[in-house]
Amino acid sequence: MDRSGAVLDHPGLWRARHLVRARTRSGHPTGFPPLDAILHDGGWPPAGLTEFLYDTPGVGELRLLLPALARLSHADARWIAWIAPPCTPYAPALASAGVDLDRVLLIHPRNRREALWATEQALRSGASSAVLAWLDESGLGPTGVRRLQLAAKQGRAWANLFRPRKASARPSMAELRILLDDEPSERCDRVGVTVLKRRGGWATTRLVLELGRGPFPNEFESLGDRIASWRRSLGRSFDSAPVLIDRRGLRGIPPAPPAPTAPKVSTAQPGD
Amino acid sequence: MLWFAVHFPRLGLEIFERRHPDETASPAVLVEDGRVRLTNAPARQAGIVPGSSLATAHGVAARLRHFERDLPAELERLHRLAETAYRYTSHVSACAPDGLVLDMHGSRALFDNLFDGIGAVAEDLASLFADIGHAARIAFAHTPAGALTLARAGQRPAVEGPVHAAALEALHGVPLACTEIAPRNVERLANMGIVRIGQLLALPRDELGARFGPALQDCLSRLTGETSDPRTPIVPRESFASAVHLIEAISNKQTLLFPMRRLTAELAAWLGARQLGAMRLVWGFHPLHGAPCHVETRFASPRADARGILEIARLRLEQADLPEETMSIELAAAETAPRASAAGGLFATEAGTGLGTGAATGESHPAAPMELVDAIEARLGDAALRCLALADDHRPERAWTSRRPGRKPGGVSRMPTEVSAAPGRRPLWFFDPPRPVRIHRFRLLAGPERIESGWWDDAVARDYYVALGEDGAQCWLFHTRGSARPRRRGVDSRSDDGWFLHGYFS
Repeated sequence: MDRSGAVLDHPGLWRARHLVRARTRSGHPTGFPPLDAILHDGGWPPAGLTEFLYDTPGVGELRLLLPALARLSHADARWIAWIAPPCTPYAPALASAGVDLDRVLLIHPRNRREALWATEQALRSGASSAVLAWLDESGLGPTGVRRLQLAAKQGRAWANLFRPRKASARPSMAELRILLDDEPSERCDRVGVTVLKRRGGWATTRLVLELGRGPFPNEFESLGDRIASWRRSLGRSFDSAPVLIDRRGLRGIPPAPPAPTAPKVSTAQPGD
Repeated sequence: MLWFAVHFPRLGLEIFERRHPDETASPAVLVEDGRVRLTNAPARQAGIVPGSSLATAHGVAARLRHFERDLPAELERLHRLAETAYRYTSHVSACAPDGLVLDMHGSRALFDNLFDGIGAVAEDLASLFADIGHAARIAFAHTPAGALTLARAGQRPAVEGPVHAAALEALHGVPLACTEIAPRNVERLANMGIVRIGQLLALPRDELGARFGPALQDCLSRLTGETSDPRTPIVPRESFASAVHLIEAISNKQTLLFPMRRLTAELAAWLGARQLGAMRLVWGFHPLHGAPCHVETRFASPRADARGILEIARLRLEQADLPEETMSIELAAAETAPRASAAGGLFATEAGTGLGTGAATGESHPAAPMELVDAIEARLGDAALRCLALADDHRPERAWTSRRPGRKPGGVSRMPTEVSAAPGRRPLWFFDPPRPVRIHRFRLLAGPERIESGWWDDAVARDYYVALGEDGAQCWLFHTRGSARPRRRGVDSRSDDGWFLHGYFS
């Protein structure tokens, strides 16, 4: 019995019960509590490969990552490497989402061999905290994905691979596979998330996440409300305040209220 | 006082062996006036002794290579080696033909702490020279002449106790042939039965002077430290350039790495002595005939570790077209920058977040961020890497810039207020140049936001809208007003009705 106990304590031996015990909070918080709750580490895997499968660019794949990227860019002095992005990541948008631009490194390889090499290098070197890669599917067999997963483990990097949806039929070594699809909504701020593969659990049913921070700031949605609240803040003198609204709308932030002695000006009725 | 001396017993032969690194296993001798002067290890094993004639040597070893002594090249090499030793002390002087002396007195306390005693310093010096392909004998004494004599004799005084006493004791047993006493006098003394320094020192000095001349007297008193022995220190070069001339051409990139490793070790020593890091290096590969090929390696941050520099050069060479056969390799430091102090923290910090890595970085240690940049740039080219920065302009295509990593941004780091005030109002994917689109394929969701600016160079007057594409993607469209069409970078303005796609909200 003693001997079997020693065998069971061997560090190379893995038993399913470890899974329950090892459920830690070591992941990068996603910024979406419902998603954190179903991920094994309580967030994106801090060292391992995550696959995003989607067909529509712009479905919300970046906004899903942004809260974690913003946090990571301040918490970790290593690079956030973007390898072969399909378009240019727009610096003002990243900055306004809180990403530290000094950590962002764009890598534009000339062909798919270089892209694969650069991805592996960025992961393995340990000089990147996160890697976002858009690789050519034809050069990315199961061996390629496996190499990337191992490199991510070795370099303790959060690797993100963006792939077309049809890749979901192929087996993959990735730690986490997530299917993204469009969730129609009034303000286009939702995305449907289906976890196809995760550590410590089965695939999940479709989950709809509120991405928030869409391209609809308050002034877009109801200018009338804003003006009303502004008028309320002015108190009694709102009758006399001129509201100058550009006919096209959105530049019409009201100017500073005039002095009480100003002559009365007839105002246009705001609100629509 | 504490003087270290370095003696290179096979310097004359090693400058030739450097030239063909592959063949150190075959016997080779250095010849002067038809007699063998120096032998390498295989030649010694074959039984060739210094002093034998060249014909005898060839008779002993069939595949013997021999080189005529090249004294100017030896002196040149000795000065390079003196510069390599400059990292230990600022007072290094070369003693022709094959010795260096280093005044270590000022750094003694430092070495006691850093190296665990002067014995360890001697080991460190020997391994430094072994790295660049020279066997070296190291000794120390309280006088430069004493240290040099001991180094030639291959003896090292005891590290314990005062250097003065230990050195004198060690000197007593050294043969007179190792000193700077004229060979004629050494022979005369030997005929008298005096072959060791100890025997000579026991004799009355004045009478020796009367018999053998003041030179012998002077030599002895410099050996024991009774008279001062000033040495002229070398002045290291301001720039680094070194070359290896090969005797047989190399046509394999992998084989080239061997002589290149020696050059990088030399460069690292030079950089270390000057507290610099390399920013730009130029490697020159010269064929026997025709134009040389120059390969440039750049670094995003100052680098001084020989292994990292060689690794970047290797990645770079994979891409480069070299001459078919390389006869000589040059390395020049074209641009250097002061290196930040490599001092580590008092307590070990978490691996992976540290920015400074020393020369002793192991394979498993995570690379510093700039090392990744160097490695990728070396393989993918300079244009492959970009960093983002903000620019102070309202026009979306000019609100950002990109630059090479490691360079200080030229633009501003402040965000335009309209962007920072409303997160999410700008798309994450950006098209540059904008793509002309048909508006009936989109459903406008919000807008417009007017951007009208740039009358001074490239005027834009646009109304921006958020729109939903047919495939469900959220797009950032704009409609140009009036005659202001995007003219930059060849956008075709005929095929559209003034609507352009400028980005995706992802």
